[in-house]
Amino acid sequence: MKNKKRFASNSIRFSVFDREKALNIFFVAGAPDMDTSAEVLRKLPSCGCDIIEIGVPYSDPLADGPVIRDAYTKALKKGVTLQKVLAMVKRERANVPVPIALMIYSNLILRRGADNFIKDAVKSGVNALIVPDMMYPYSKDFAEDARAAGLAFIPLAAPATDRERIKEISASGDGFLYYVNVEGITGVRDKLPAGIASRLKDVSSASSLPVMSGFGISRPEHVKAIKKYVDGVIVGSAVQKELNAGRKPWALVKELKCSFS
Amino acid sequence: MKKLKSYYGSFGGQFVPETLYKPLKELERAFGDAAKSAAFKKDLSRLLADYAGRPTPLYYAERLSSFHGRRIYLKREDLNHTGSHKINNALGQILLARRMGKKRIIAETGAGQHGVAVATAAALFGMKCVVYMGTVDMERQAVNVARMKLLGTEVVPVVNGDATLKEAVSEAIRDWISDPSGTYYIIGSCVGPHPYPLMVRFFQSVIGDETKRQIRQKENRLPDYLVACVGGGSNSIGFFHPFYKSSVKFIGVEAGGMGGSPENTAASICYGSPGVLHGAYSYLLQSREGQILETHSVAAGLDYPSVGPEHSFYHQSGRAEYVSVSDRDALKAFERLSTLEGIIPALESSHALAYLSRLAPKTKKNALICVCLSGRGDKDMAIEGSLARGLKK
Repeated sequence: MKNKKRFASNSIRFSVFDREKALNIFFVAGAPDMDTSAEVLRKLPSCGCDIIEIGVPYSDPLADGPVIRDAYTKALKKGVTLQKVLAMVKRERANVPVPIALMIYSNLILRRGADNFIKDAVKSGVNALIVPDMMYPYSKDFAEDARAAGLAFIPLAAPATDRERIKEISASGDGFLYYVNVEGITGVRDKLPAGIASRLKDVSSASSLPVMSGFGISRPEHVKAIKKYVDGVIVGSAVQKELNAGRKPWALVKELKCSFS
Repeated sequence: MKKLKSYYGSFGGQFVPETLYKPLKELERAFGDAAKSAAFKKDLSRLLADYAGRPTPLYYAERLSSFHGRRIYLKREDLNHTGSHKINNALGQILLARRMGKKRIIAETGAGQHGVAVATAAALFGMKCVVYMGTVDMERQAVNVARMKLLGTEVVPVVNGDATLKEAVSEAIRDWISDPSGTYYIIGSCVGPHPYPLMVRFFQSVIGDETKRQIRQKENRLPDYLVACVGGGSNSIGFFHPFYKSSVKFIGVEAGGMGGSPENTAASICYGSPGVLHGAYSYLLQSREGQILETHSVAAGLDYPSVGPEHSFYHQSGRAEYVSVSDRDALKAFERLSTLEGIIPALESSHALAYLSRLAPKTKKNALICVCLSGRGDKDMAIEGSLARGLKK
């Protein structure tokens, strides 16, 4: 399906949505270690991943469940910092033919200083930012500064976000709308919430950005159940769970991508 | 950005996941309505009077006054039902929760004083209650854990991080994110996203309102100084705020712990810098990279790496002065008040009392000082015993 969304005139677009449904894979930088992270970063595109989302380790990840929290804690114990994550992106950038997003909590940005952080991220080749604890309108100034520097600020919407706010939020952001499927924190769940299909249809019709659905998506059958209603899906905890256990996620990622067709 | 009303100067705001946007909006609206409702205010003042035991006395501490050489009054929040000022906020917020039709109450607790106050209010209102508490705090405040259980509350142990108050708040917020429409989160201090700092100040301002009336009756004037301990800062903001427009000097006493470096303390303003924790932009203890530090204080209720945004504003604007007091000095003050006045203060409140030794010599001979005695110290007997032995070595 071609992407027919009406973008705000100056918003940043990802061309993947013009071609196909996108698979966004999330993993935590430095868990289990930085070498593995660099390998994952290089190899994900060839497994069918269209957008890569790298989690920057943080001590107090309010929106995250145990799998991602444990990964952050381990990475921090190994001394992983924002600077090291950005250095890894810079080193690998030429080998990664897809957009790279950072998932980062707002205090890490504020501590570096928003302007410096934006400069650092652009210099390293980061394309997009997902800040889970910076909602609209508190995000407004930062999102505008990021966009001006060429960084897409990805807005998030939740189950209780109404149509008016989805319009407002999507108009204020770039790239895609990250729709959080459930009221809750990140984590692997057996089932998607009841009524998800009609909710996603509704969100899609209100959003001026392509809609990616995340939280609770871990298996091919989840993707199959919702693929008609969205422009893509985001998978995080299921992949990180493999990495935490010392396994490589290639097969899982390939299987997830295949379930779109 | 255009300043929103959720800010105190540049501090405050709502730095939370989108899932909390709607529940915070609803809370803001419900609180705004309640604060204007005569029926709500009547219910609250009846509960505060007949159930919590307000007004609490403003007590002239004669022997403590002669020890320090200045006139010292104690605002006796320790005499509230459940033993601290926390009941003021717990009763106010549970009335609001009932008004909003919520069935399930959650809270976090550090020392256990807020947890006990909420468990008490939940029992009184027949509501289901869950309290999150770090395992380290559960151990050092075991009596309060037993009290909460007896009151019918489920106490959920939190093992993440350093297993104290910060982690308990995070877990409570995660619980709320998972059931935002059915659950009401009673936050215990003037921290968190707007409107919490405003609500907690509103419900705790009864402390300062009474103090103002009482000191006028007793001394026919306002005090020169208000001194209160500051962890998140709820007793102090309630004590200070009604005097905001006067020339009374405010002194907030933070937990200096063992001193030396930030992670040996819980003194967010004295040793910290601005950043975001638990939904608010405020002073906090953080690393160079912005990771939140683990903290230390002998007083579990002060052992928190941030502070209410309104305190950050008072600090930045110079309206209040913030100082820190060590574990050791707090313990000395704990013993001093016990022996001089027959009042065993909470270790948290002992920080405010300890600062009198530094403040009194700097003031005029006729200075009038009011200290908020935010809670009683029965809960701290075990800690005092073991630590006093250790520190005296």
